[in-house]
Amino acid sequence: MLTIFLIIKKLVKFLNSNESIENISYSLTLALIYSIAPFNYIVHPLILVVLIGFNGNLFIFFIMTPVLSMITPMIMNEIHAIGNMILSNGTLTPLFQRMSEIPILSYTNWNNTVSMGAYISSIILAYPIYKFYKFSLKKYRHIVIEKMKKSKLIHLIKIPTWLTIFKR
Amino acid sequence: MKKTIKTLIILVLLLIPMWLIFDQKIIRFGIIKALENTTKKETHLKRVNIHYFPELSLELIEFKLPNPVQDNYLLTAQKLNISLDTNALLKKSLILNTITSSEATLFDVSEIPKRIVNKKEPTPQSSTTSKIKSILHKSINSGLNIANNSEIVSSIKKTFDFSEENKEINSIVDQTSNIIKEKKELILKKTNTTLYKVNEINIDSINSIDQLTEQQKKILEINSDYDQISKEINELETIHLQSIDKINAVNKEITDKIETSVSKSPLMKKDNESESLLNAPLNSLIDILINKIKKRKNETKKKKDYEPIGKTYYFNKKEQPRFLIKKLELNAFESEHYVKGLNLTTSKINNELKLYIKLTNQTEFEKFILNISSEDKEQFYINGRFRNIKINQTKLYENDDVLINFLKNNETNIDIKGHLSSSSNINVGININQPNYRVINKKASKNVLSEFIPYLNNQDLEFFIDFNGNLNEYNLKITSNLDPILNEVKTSLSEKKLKKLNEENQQEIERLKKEHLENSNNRQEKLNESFKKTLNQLKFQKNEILNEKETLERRINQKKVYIENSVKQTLETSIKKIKLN
Repeated sequence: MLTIFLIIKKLVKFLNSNESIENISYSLTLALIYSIAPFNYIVHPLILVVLIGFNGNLFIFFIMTPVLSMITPMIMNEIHAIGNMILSNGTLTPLFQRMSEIPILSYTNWNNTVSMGAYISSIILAYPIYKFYKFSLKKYRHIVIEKMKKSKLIHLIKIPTWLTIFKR
Repeated sequence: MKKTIKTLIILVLLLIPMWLIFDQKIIRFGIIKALENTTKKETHLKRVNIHYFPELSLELIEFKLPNPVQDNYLLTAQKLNISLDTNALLKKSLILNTITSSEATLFDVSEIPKRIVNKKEPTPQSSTTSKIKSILHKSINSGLNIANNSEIVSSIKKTFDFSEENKEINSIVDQTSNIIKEKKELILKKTNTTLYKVNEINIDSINSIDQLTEQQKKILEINSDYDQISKEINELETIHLQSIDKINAVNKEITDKIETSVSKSPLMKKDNESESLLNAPLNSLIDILINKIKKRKNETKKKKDYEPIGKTYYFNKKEQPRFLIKKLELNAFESEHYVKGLNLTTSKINNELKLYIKLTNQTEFEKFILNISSEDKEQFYINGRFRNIKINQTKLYENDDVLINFLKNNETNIDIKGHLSSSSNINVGININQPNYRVINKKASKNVLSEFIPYLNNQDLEFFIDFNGNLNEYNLKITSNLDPILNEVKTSLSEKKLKKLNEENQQEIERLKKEHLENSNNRQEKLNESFKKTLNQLKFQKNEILNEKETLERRINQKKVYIENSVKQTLETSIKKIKLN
């Protein structure tokens, strides 16, 4: 319980730190994509490479991935419906036939409705989600933090620091 | 972006040498893990040599693949060469171009593979085995039940009431005895009187014809008396004979009663001969096996149900198989273990699937040949045969009285023919040549099974199983010669028992007759004795009279002649005198 409390505290500290909003938003977007798509030995390591490559925040990513994974079962049917709609589309069949002949690509399980739904949803929603996170974080830093600084609750949260000093 | 590319390059540069260093260990680990997950038993693989050029191939050194169903190794090979299709591998399909080995052993029993115990999975229960055992026990029980004592029942009655008949006999004997006694006295009186009359006659005193005539009259009287006595004695004999007849009639009644109460042929309990002894138990056995397979399928399905929902579409026009072994060849054809396969897959490819397995001189059988072929991979044609399967001595049946063993037999053949598909048709013929059984009596008294079982020795057993349909809906027809054999044995045994029982019945009848006719016979014997005595006495008297009478008659005749002669002489003398005068 204490660990969770410390993690949340650290997360809040991160959100309040000098870490750029773009970076945090980008990490959160990748965490969402990582948790939506069914695990794959090609796609998921690739997401990690992209995260590291674009200087993403690993802490935010690893903290948020399990949290966001909890929502995946709730939207599984919708993802499946999207994937099914795309894969059963007759006009796209020649494209899929060509894709099926591309080596290694079949390891991504793109011909599965859930995987395809997750990939397409991630591609389409990645930018809006990134924008949403960015906007939300900006608002958080400008409005919420300011209000929290004046809040008495924060003072109470800070008491343990006093106590530790007192103990010393 | 630059950073990403840099990271990727660093990763690739790190991974390639890492792979080249550890590839053998990784592949070995992967193979062992995959096979252990499938077989749930420890798989042995000492080393894997990987060759990347000219084609990707693996050499499995000291490889032991456990049999998931039995306690043996399905395949052991000192060196197993596998060559893979790299292009297919990149398209997520495992195509093995060739699998070859020159030192492979199939169904190796030299070592028992260790089972991997998974704490999460429940340990396999022996319920199926116990169910099978129970069914076998029941079927053997019902099969052997025909030898049970209760099959032939004697209707013999042990107790009889012959008091009425005995009373009747006593009355006949008493009555006859009284009549004989009375008659005897009368006859004796008459004989005495007659003898007195005989003694009264004095032949010597006869001097004249008148006296002679008078005496002759008396003799006539005596004759008449004698005739009457004879008649009465004859009457007495008739009375005695009538009594004997009456007694015999009563005795016959007794005998008839005893004989009719004992049926000549003992009762045979009828059993349902139309119903085969084997159909029900064998159907149950196959039901159990099919349910076991179904259960396994359901368990696999349940496991699959936990996977995320989704549907996989296949767009590959070339119909790339997910798994294919293009060529499999283990050992040379002359070897005791030989396997050759072509295009082994369940995917629909154009090339025909062929699999040939030949095993000879095995510990459990002499020869096994299996041929599987399929063109469309939907119907798999099977043709297999086992020759001279070795069945060890097996306990067949046991109860409190006996133990029946099936003795070691090396002449069992199995032929399997048919096709496997969504609607399969499989014919299995099992032939056990000259089986022998041994019955061990646990108690001093001889059990009926020890008489019954020897009839089954050296009687070839034949079973034919015809399976049609699929696991969910199937038709099973089982025929065997066991039922006719058992019925034949039953008939022989019944005849033997019937004969024995008839003999016993006859003995019992004789005993009962002896027991219940004893009184009658005694009485009859006494009556006969007494009558014989009386008769002798009377006949003696009668003979006395006869003798005396005959003597008298002779003497009278002599006297008569004498008187006649003297009269004649006197007359002649007188006539002469007259003539002279």
